[in-house]
Amino acid sequence: MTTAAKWFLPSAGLALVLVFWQAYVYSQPNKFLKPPIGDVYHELVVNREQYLDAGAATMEEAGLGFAVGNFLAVILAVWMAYSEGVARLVYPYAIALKATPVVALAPLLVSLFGLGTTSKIVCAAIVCFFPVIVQVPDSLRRIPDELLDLFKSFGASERDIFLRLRIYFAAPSFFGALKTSSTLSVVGAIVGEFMSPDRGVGRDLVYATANGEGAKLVATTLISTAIGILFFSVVYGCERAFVTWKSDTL
Amino acid sequence: MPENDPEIALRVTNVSLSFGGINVLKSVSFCVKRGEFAVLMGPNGCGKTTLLRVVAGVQAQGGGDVAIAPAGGSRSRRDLAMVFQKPLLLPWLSVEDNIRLPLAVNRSAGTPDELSDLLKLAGLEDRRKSTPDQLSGGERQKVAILRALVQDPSVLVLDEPFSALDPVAHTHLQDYLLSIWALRKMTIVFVTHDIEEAAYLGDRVLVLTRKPSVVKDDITIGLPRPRPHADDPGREAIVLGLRRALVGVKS
Repeated sequence: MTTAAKWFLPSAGLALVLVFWQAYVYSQPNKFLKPPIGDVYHELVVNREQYLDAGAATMEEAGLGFAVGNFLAVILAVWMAYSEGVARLVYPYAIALKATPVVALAPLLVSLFGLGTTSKIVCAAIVCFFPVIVQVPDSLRRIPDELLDLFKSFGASERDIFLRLRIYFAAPSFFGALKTSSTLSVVGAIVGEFMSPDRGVGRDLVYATANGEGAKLVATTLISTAIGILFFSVVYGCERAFVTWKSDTL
Repeated sequence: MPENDPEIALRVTNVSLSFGGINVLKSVSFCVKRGEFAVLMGPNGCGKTTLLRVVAGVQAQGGGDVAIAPAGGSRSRRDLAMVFQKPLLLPWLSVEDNIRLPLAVNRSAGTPDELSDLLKLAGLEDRRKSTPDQLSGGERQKVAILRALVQDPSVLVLDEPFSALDPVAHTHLQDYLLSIWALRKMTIVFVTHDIEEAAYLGDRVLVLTRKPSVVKDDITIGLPRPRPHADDPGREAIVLGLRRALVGVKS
């Protein structure tokens, strides 16, 4: 596929969605909760500072949740890779945590951590925790035997094997997990904001829905999408910078 | 041979190994003289690779002893280095860093001249900064050999290193290995199942039996070097002798 086609197709897809949206809106008698594209654009431009503030608050909560959740997940994943006992202890509860919808967990987190920012960060951290826990321990363990033999033939210690081999082998699945949790962190933060709507994109979504402000609702949704894309892009950029090799050249 | 014979570089004594109740190696004993090119042959699955892994210290033996005598007055960093069947180059490292990997693991600096000499010897000077995916199969295996040589071992063991290469690269690397051996005067233990290759490369061929593996024959190849690749009556006789020894094992 040519570069032009690679850019053209997603743009054409977006244009198609906008045309369908506009046609749908004009076919409806009540336009309050189904605003035309122009109204959404106008809302974003006029109240841009309010959206930037809300977006910044959500980014702060999601970013901190992403950092804390993944930091703890990486420590636990390394421990699980080296200790089957720890893996057996942690894994069932990690699955149980994942199986519990974050929407169901959020009220409990608010009662545990209060109505402030902490409960929202914890909410984001919990949803970020799971992808690394599931994917990374196996990738750290599953090194081809012949490569371990190679390192043993050098007289390498397990520390060397970890730093020079296991980390690199686990990097693709680690970044895959980070990409998943980058967008989940925004979901977690917004769900936390739903429960105590004092700031952020979640608060704006709650009030726009309650007040029937269609343009504000769509504009806020677009802001949350932009935050998700931004987070994903940053992780993707880091992955491109770090994982520069093809894995089939052993 | 006497136990502390200074001419012996590698002494394997009564090495045994079992996996899950199956005897793989049974009291395998042999010696390799300093500067000798020894070839290990045997039927598929007889335990050649396992024996080499034991010799390289990668696999613990069930019993017996492997003794490597460092070259007298040598500045060897390691007594033994191993080249595997696959090049096993780390795709995230450049050619240069792959070669330096054993030095990095052992916190040894090496010298820039040494690396340049090795790359020159392999004709890979301009590939120093390349990554493994930019190399041909033969070039990757050359880098794997250089990674072993940078450890300056007194004994080099190779486990069917050329078996996955096309015939042209195979022949080229055989000659490359012989040139290194002649230059560095090191002891080599080379595993192959290719009779022609054994007759071309080796001073001695040790023929292993099926599992549990023991050394069945110890054949000296008394052909002068450099040897022709084919159509040499002396070599044909050696090939025939090796074939008979292997057929005896298989029957």
